[in-house]
Amino acid sequence: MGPKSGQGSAEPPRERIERLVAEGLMPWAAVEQAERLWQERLRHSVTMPNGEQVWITLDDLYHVIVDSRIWRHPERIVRALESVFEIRALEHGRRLAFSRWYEGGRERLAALVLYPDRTLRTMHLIDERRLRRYTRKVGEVVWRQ
Amino acid sequence: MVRATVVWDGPEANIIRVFVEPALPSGAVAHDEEITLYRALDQNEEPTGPVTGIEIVGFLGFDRWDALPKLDLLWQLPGQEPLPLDELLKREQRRLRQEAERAASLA
Repeated sequence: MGPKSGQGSAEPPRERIERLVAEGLMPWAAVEQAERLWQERLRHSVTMPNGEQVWITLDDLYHVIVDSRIWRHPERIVRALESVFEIRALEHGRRLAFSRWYEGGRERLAALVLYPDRTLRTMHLIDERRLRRYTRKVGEVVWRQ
Repeated sequence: MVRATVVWDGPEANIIRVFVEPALPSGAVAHDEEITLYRALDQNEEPTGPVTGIEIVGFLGFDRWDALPKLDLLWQLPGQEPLPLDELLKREQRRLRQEAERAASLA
């Protein structure tokens, strides 16, 4: 199955999520849990440790939960934002934030792309090797804890 | 060859995702600050399996085609011929730029 006819070859994020649910690849309960988190927390903004508030749109939430490790634990979006320890500049006013937190004794790292309008547009769990690679190559540090 | 779909929610977000179909439980692997690969998760929930998708931030202005990961795959969107990833992305970029220009002219 692919995108519905009549919309070109691109599929909006919500339709992809609905299709994954229909195909049995993602439980509807996970989508509901993520949407509930958005209603209760994310749409009101989350404050990063530098004091800045960040929003996430519902469409971007649907993007972020494409990663199975996030739809199974959507609270990781909040943890990641609240645990940012460094922010670097990207092109076009975008920024890349790095985050570290602990779950059950295990360290988690994430990279978050922030747009100039203070929205979180995408987020990825990364490992220490990726973090080192990023911090060697990606633009100047604009904030560090 | 893999079947694929494109996810795009407009020029404001300006992020394209191309996913292999049928979808598999996947995790992201950052390639660089703009390009992310998705790979199938292993039993330890680590993204070590086959490539399941790619994401590019700032897609309408993206031109670092040489920075794309070298994947020995042809990607086929619904109703279209199979293409190498860079060719598919260039074609989608032309199409999405036209759409964005059309929308801007109507606004």
